[in-house]
Amino acid sequence: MVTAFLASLAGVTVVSQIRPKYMAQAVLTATQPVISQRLVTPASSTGAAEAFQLLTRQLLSKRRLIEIILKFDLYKRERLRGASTDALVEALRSNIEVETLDPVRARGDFNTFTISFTGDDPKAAQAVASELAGLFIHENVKTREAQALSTTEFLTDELESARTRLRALEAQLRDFKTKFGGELPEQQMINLQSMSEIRTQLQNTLSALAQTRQQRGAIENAIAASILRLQFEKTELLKKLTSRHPSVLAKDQEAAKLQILMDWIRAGTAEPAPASTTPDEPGVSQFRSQVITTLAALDRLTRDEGRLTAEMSRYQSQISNTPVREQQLATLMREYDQSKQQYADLVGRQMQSRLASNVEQNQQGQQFRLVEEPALPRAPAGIPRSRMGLAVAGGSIILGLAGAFVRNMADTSLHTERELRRAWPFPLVVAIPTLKSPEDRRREIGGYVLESLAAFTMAAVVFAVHAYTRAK
Amino acid sequence: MRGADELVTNGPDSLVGIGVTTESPASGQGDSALDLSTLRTVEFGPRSKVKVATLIDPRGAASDRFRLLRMKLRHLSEKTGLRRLLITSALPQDGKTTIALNLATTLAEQGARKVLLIEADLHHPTLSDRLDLEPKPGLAEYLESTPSISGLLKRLTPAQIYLLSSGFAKTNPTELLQSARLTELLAAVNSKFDWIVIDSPPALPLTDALSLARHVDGVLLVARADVTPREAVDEAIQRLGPANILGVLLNGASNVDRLYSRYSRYYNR
Ligand SMILES: Nc1ncnc2c1ncn2[C@@H]1O[C@H](COP(=O)(O)OP(=O)(O)OP(=O)(O)O)[C@@H](O)[C@H]1O
Ligand SMILES: [Mg+2]
Repeated sequence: MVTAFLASLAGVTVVSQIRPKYMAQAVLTATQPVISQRLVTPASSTGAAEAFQLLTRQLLSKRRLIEIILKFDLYKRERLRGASTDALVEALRSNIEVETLDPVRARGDFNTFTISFTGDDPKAAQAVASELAGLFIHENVKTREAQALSTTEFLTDELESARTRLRALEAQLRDFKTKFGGELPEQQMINLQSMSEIRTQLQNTLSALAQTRQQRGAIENAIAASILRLQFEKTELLKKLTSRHPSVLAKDQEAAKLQILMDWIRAGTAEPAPASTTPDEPGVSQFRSQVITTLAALDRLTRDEGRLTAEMSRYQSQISNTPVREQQLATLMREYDQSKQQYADLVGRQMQSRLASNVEQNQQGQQFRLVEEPALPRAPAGIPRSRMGLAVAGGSIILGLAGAFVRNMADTSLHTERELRRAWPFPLVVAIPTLKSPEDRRREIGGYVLESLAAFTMAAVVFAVHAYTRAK
Repeated sequence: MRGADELVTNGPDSLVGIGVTTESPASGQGDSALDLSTLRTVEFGPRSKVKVATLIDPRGAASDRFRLLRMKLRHLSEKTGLRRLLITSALPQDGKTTIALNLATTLAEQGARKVLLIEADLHHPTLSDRLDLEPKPGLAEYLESTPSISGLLKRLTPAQIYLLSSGFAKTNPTELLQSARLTELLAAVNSKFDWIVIDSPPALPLTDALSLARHVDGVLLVARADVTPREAVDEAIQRLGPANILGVLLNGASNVDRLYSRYSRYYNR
């Protein structure tokens, strides 16, 4: 008890030391943008509540606060005492309060709030409060304008880089398609069909080739037979004629021509046979044309075979590469689509932002309006000091009770006879009071007197202090 | 609530009275040399700090509560032959010694009854000091060696009770209390007294109270109001066996005074 009284005395003393304070406050509202937000998304993404916070932070910046202190010559006493700038700024900050009034703050579309300043001097309080309100309105407009402009600028930059990105992706896609056109999935069917066609062609070519080779063998044999016949005829002629006889010479010449044709066809080259100086005999010319046709066919067919085999393997590798290309293409396409979308978004936003910044520049966006000028405060602000003293005293009593309550909660000790009876079924339950000798009793009475005396003294002191501060 | 008879009658798991109940007070098997009239009388010393309710304030609330307790005990005694009481508690400083002395004094009715108070707290004897008596041998010495009890007992005024103080244990007190000499002691004094009150160490930290409980008819458990946690009392009851417990005394209860003062003015004019 004595402690509680000492605590409240200390409290009351502190309270009586507090200088009177005056509070002035301005009321502002945030108005709706004139142009519907459905048409123009506000350039600044902040709602009114966030705008307060942002603005309050700007308002309460150190530089601003120092300006205000100097402009209104605040905290003279503290400055004389040599308080640091930081301390002064902190003091001013703690004396400024921005509070929203509307319970509909959550909706964030309409707001009323107050800016108040508490100071030692009523006039200064009023002046500072209206300065703050003015700053608030002005700052907000500036902030939003700046925000809208910088948004537009930012978007323009973004747009440029998005465009470059999109172009690059487009080129990449084009290159890919030209380079791997045959390997793309949509080509797969054609590839397979072509391959089967080529296979048929190749088979035909191969069988034609085999046939022609057979023909060549037949011609060879026929030429050989003709040569043998000519030698036989020559032997017959020599029996009757000399070797210088023109008939004999003719047989030799014909055989030699045939031998050349024979060598030619054996070599199998497409090179033209050495031209003969004399006109061909009918037998030779027949063979010559046969050899030429066969060799030409052979040459064509062999080339066809090579071409078809190469084509075949090209289609095969295209078909086996398709899954890989498919994936590569998908990745490229995705990037491309994203980039395209981004670009489209940015274009849209830039247009909106241009519109919005026009709106802000014409001050048609959301803004704050002064509803109530700060009035000159008449009475000191805050809880009346007498009441504050009571509150301090009451607070200490409540604290004491709370302490007792907490102690009680943790306490499982026994207190009454009844509790014991309820807890255990023993026949004998007797409560025994504290034993007191006459001396104890005397001491106890002394204690009461001391407590009452303390209480009385406290009351007297509280009253005296109160009366004194009133008189002052 | 169980009947008092049931409580004191030995159940199968009851510790009460084991070993001693067979000896009737009149059997005279004890120390036949013990003659109470020859005992020394000692007085509370001048610096005695002990508070005995019936002496300092015979009309106060506390004295009244002790008389109530005496009445209840007598009632039980008539029905069950209850004569030996053990005063213990869950924890130290619950007020065992204070209550034992007060109860013994109240039971003595200014010498009309013969009451023996045995201080069996050999760990932490406080009584002699608090009564400002000269330190003398007692229970510990008896249990350790001294054959005769007569030299150790003394009559105490103004309480009008007989006292066997704890003395000074040279060996482990807990082991001492488990010796057969304790049975002998109880047998020796049993027939000479109307009541035997034994003050003991706390039951939770030590097993002494458990050993002592085997030599008595009933246990009174002391709980300090606003201090002893209920869980501690519960634990002590479990240790001693609920069947051995006569009751619980709430020591230092605060609202007894107030309740009583309403009537005291009326009755005690
Ligand atoms: N009813 C009472 N009224 C006033 N004081 C009391 C009461 N009961 C106990 N005390 C005081 O509390 C203290 C402890 O009491 P006491 O020695 O009887 O407890 P105890 O249980 O025997 O302790 P220990 O376990 O140490 O033997 C003593 O100072 C005693 O005077
Ligand atoms: Mg004790």
